[in-house]
Amino acid sequence: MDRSPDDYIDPVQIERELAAIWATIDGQQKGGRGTVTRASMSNVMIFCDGEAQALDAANRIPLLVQHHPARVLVLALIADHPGDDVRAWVTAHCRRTSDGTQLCAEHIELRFGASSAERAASVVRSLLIADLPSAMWWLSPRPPALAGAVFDAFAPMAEQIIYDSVGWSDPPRAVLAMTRWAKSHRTVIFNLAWRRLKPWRRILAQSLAPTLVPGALQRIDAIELRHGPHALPLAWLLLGWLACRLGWQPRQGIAKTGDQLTWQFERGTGRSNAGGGNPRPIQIKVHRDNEGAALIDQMRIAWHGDGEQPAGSADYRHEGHYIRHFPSDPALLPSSIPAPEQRLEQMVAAQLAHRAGDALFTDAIAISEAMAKVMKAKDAATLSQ
Amino acid sequence: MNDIQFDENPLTSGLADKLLPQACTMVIFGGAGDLSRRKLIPALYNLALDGLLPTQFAVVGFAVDALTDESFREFAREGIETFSRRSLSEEDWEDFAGHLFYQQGNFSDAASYAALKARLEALEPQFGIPGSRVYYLAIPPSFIDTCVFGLHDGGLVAPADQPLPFTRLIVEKPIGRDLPSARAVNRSLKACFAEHQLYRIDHYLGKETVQNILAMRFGNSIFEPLWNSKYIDHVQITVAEAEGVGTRAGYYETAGALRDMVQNHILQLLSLIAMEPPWSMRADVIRDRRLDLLQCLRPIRSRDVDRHAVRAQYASGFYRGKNAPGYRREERVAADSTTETYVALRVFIDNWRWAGVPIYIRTGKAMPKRVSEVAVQFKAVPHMLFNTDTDHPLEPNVLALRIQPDEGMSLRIGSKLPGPKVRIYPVKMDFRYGSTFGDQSPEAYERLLLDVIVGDATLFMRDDAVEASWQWIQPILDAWEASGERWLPEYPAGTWGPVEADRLIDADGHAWRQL
Repeated sequence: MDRSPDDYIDPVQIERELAAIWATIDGQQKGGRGTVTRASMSNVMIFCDGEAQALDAANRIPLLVQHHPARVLVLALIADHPGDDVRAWVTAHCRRTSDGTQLCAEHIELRFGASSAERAASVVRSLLIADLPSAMWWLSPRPPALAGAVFDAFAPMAEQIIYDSVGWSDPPRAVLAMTRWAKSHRTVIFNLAWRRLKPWRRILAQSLAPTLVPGALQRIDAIELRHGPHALPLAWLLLGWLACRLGWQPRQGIAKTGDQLTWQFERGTGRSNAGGGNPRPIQIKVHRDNEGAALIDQMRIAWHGDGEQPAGSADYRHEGHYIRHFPSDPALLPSSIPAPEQRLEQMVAAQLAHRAGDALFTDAIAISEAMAKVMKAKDAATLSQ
Repeated sequence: MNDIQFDENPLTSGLADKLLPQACTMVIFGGAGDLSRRKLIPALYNLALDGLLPTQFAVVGFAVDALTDESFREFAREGIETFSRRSLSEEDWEDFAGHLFYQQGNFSDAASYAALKARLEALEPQFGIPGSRVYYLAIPPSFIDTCVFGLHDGGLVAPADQPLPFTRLIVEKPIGRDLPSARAVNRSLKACFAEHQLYRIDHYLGKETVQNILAMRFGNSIFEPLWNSKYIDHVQITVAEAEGVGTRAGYYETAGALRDMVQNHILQLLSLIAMEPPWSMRADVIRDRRLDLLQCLRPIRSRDVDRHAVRAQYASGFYRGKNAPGYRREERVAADSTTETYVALRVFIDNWRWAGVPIYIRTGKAMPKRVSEVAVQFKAVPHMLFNTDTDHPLEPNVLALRIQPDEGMSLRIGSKLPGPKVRIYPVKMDFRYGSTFGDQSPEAYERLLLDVIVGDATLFMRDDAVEASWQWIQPILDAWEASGERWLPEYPAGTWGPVEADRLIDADGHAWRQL
């Protein structure tokens, strides 16, 4: 999608240029097969930091609109953008369906400098299709709540903000900023890391089910987790979810080195814990591998025996595009669940269909926030990705 | 902090039920048969790819064919390669194949059930399956009794009143071939299973577009106020198949269009279109409303059958320019067959909402194209301001729900033609699944198998609904049986049906929709 400076247009010409594109596509169809349909389920804004990321976004749009047809607006903040003007570029992505219909989705790009965010926002306001949901996909690696005025300019136009915490350089600070922002706004926020965790949540829920390993969930006392580079936020969120579901509260967090982190959790007041039940704390160790993909690679959950039920453990490994569960009970076969690698745009397309907030995600990030707060400030500073 | 309920599974919170099916084994009776190869195994494979099967899951094919686990896996692989909506990948196949097993057995032989039981009891602990089972009877109807009692007598049915392990039984249509035989089948089923363990499957209800009828009616505020006799003139339901009977002639000769399509698919469709609003989406609430509707169908007395029902057979004709044989010339069809390949009906629903609104139903084989739709035609405006020429009245508003193909819905409205004159022209507002949502929809069997695994019976037929639909059909069957007619009205293959069907609807001043 190379383009020269001459390809850019004034934003006031966007609608006229789109009309011309539609007329061209329609003309090509005349005498040919099928009809042309403008397909739009949503307005999707994609916020990008810099030219390279804007081009990356452009390359992701065809697959995004294949799964979720939308009018897509790429909002590219260019550090060295000349002047205050906003520059625009438009195109359409078409594909033919099995019945011969040509399905087309509009793609509009806006480029602007840091001082022109409000100016660019005014363009966006004029381009949103009425009566369709609007969402913002924050593709930038900066946490949105730490991006300042530029985020504030566009966020009010979105009913949902989709971001990805994988790759955040300072997870504790970012987690705190996002949870604070979410508490003061009604906009739905969604972290793509949460979607990546779905297979983990599903296999943990099934392999630790009380029908399979009675009492194990109440007796967990140790978790060890290994993740690849940039995947600490993923591990953080998974532990936040486990803690929130099992009633644990973080008491202490220590970053021993740049690649090892420990937490100690205290049990809550679960019904089976009532009457002075199980006082043991839960020890959690998180290790970062210096090579590999940004994934949770391995996890081991161990629980103690209690006289009636034996001690046990479960190991989980991400292998290929499956997460496999290896029970400590030799009578049981390993089980697995697909965890195929998904492109970002596929995950975003899937999330666009879910417009309501996810209460469980909100609970999980609340515990994540508590986990950040118990991390000693000097320790948090040593954390790297 | 919330009080954590550890006797349930706190980790399942927030994960949809459909994402957390309970550990179980699926035993496919007739596992080496056509339905298994074409539909069931590909559906299970696609559910596995989506991570929707339980992690503790096994499939056991059970049939008389002499297969081993290995050859059953080959059979399954071939079915997936040929019929799955998604192609087979080696990594996914390796994982899926590890859950497939085969047990040879004779459905009539008690020893086969004992061997099946032993096999299941050996397999299930390895997978961590607590003995919960889904039995799928993918077998001819004549074997239902044998298999049901075989399972029961073989100790393969868990007590109905305990949550785990559970036993669920899926039974394919047809449930009987008339009211007495349907009752007999239900008696057999209920002698061995509780009603909540039974899943009578009608794959039509698994189609996205059929499910969308409820979403359209009860998820939008603009339709329901108009959904009654005050505003609706009539409804037309069309289920047309382009093909003749083909390889199904043997079965079709004993069934006919009324049994094959109307008694199940079309009456289920009608019940969704016309039922009263449910107060919740719980399975039994929806099924109660569907049953209510079936019980409101005005009985067609035997002496009135000719006024309300038309049957016909296709004769030789042309389909898309090619010669098409008549029904009696098809292989395995008797030369003097009186099996109907086409049915048209005029139906009334005797309740407050639908009083006086005719529902026209037509279904047939060897028609010009494959199309299923429900069209709701609204009444004319009370006072005509436009196109007052009575020879050219305004076209009425029509809401058409397209079930297949080209799934979606359209609303025909009148619009002013541009220009100085006031001329009204019919235009269509069109919603198409393919254009809007783009992605492939899951197959009906995927949805329905998953529903059974999670224990959601909403889209399955309850015994009372099956019997209510047979009860309504029975007088028509009896009248046709008693008529002794040797020749039915005919329609050329590749046309929309006999003139008698046109007369049926024309008598009310209506016409079949041009599709």
